Amino acid sequence: MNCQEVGHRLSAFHDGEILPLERDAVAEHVGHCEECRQYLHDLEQLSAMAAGMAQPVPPPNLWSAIETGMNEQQPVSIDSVPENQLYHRIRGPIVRWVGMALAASALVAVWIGVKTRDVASHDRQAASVVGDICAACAGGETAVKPLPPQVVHFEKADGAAVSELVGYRPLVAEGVPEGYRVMATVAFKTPGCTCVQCSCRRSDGTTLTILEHDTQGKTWFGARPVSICKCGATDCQVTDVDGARVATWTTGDRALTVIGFRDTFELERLVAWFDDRRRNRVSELFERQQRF
Amino acid sequence: LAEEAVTVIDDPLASVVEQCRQGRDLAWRQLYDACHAPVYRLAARMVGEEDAADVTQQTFLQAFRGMPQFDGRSKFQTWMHRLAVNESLQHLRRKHRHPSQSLDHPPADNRNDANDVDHRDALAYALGRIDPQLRAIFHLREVEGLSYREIAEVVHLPEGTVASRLSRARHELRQHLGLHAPK
Repeated sequence: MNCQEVGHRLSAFHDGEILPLERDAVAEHVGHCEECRQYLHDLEQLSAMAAGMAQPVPPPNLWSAIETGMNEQQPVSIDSVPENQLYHRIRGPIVRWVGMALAASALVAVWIGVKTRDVASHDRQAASVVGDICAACAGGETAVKPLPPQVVHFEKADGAAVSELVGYRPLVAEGVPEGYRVMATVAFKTPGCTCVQCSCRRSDGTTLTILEHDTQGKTWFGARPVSICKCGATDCQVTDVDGARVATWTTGDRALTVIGFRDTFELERLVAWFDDRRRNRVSELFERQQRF
Repeated sequence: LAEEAVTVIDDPLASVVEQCRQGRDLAWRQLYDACHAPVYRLAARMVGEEDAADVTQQTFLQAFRGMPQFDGRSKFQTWMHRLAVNESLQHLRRKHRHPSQSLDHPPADNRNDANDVDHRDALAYALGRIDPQLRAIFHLREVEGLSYREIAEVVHLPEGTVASRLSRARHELRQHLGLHAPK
């Protein structure tokens, strides 16, 4: 191993979190490389400083404040809700799937509003449609209602057929990150755009919906309060649709929307993954052009 | 079947969690006693001591309200760490301030004179200058002593990513502290 290879592993080596084979190679290198030995010494110094840092002590009245809070019904912030709690009002997986699909449809409807109406009209429509979906998700199976037919029509197609239907090669058609399983891919065909919806299941059985569309409306979330979450170099618009966290961002000429992401770490991972797919595709295209 | 195989977690708080579910009031306090110090430490490191109590309070409220949904696939303390990290990041966003600016200065009670800043304060200062997610990972490793696997569970990232981020955190801290020229 050279210094560069060892440099990436020194932190894990310092923690004893390195494979035995690599550990021996790193140890051998450090034995004869003064610079890497110094780096390792710095890591040890850093750990010693961390161990010596003064640790704050919780105030004595903290438990009283929590007890008081437990007796009040306060709104729950979206990013701190345990993942399973997000859907606690939806009874059973079928209803959850229906709710997620309808929520996805609502977002498409909101986007159509951006394309075809002025902003005020769009916001009214968004509030109306998204409100219906939220009520459907919150109310259980009996409350689930179809969207008005004039708002959204869709056709279903699986796998490669999706590309033909939407007229572009969706990033989601190339797969999803490790840890997710694609349950269904659906192409929504609407008067304003085409959109691919990929329904995924995590290894723990929870679900996530990914939408891909070729244009991005500025008021995609209507009048809902939106915050910006920075994932690497990408700004994601984040909002809450009836307890489900929803985020949208653009990568190249595509916009991606995820419904039901768990936390910023998962969102960051998804953003990075799809950005990689797009970059790979650009590289492929470039290489192909070079060949011809 | 393989996917559904359940790993048995040896959680020292499992019985207390169960008592909470059975509605025994004293159990809530037991969970608080067991977890509040690390949660508060993490919150203080993430958002500063000024707001740490608020974040800790919110973290426990989220945990207690969400207790029926805690499935025991991770240790309760790991779950609490995760909630605390998320609540801290959410708190930073709510306050509309850039995370790296939030802890640019050492805590007020330590900020007497620039010459008094010893190593401990210097590290606190440097931690305030790195990305909050990196800060969380560094804290979980160096202060709470979590393994890479446990940190991966907290932040929902692969272990390899945890390793590279921790390495990046240390690299940046080393630079801020001016220990040596970056490698």
